[in-house]
Amino acid sequence: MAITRRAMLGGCALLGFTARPAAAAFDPSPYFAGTARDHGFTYNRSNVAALDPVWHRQLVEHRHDEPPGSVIVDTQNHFLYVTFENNTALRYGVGVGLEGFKWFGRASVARKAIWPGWTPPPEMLARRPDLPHHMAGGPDNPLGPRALYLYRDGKDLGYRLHGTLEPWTIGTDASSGCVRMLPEDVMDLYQRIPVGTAVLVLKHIH
Amino acid sequence: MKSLPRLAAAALSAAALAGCGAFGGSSAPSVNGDTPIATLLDAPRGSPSDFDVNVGRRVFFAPNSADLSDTGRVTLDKQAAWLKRFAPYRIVVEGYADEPGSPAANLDLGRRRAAAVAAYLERRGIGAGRVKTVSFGNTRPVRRCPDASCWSQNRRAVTVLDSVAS
Repeated sequence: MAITRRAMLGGCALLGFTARPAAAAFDPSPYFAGTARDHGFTYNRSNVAALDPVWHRQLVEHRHDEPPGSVIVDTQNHFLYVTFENNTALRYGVGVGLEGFKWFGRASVARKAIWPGWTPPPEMLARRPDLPHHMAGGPDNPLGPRALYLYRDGKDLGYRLHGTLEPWTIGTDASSGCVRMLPEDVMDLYQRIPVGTAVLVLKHIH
Repeated sequence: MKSLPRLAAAALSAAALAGCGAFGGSSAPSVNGDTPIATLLDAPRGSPSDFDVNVGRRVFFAPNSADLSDTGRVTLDKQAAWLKRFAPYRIVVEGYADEPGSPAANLDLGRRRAAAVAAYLERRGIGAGRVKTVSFGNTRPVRRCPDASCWSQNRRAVTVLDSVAS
């Protein structure tokens, strides 16, 4: 499995502060439905009904070769699966940022965080001096309410499963971030898989 | 394109595997080779698939421990709220273990894990009469391998919806 040094260093650190749909008149309000509270923060609830049902969290019969109790990330088709017995799986629609396409292979969830902070790596700060050196976790942090950190052989791959502030980007290739999930979905995923869970990020054509 | 009867049969068997008592059928289109069973919106409220998609059956434990984690309590709070709302279900809490150690020790650990979940649900208002517990020790692992990817999945308790109380 080829894991480039660049991918190791760069990882999924590039998170968008500026990702906006091209149309100037884009109105995000249909994608939100009020607010909710979690661990002391108030965040915008997603209006799931505004998304195509293929992106809705759902139980499916899914053919795959992984044992139960795995996560499969299909970046090409924008799905994340938690596999159960009997070829069933819980499927989530995801957005995939540029960084989400920089690596594929086998890893495990080594760490999980609630309202994660974000520290841009030095080489990114060199390119983007406007970025803060550290962004505390919270409703304005592009990682959203949860992040799950993938490691391989004890090393941080920089590959993350995290939230998004932009529900309309689920099911798309987004400009930034890694594997982006609805806040409600990444909170759900956090509950479903313990630290140690095996993750397979499928090979993609990009 | 598959024939309709084959599609229906596939959906039906998927629903049966997932523990759906009646054939519901999801409104979601079939994509990526998947057969949709139920989405978070179209799962019939109070159905087993609603429990699977919107609540979750499993909580996980630290090695050789039957203590509930903060994460486990969040899932159990959701289970309790759902079970209070959809009162007819009885449940069986299954405890499992996958530690090195004797079958007897693992059976005991699974028993303590199931008991911890049952006690928590009772504190959250689920009557003891609705809850049974059982331990399978280390006899039914989710995965078999000599590392944490398997052990972490196997150290679990699973809340299974049982019969509807009469």
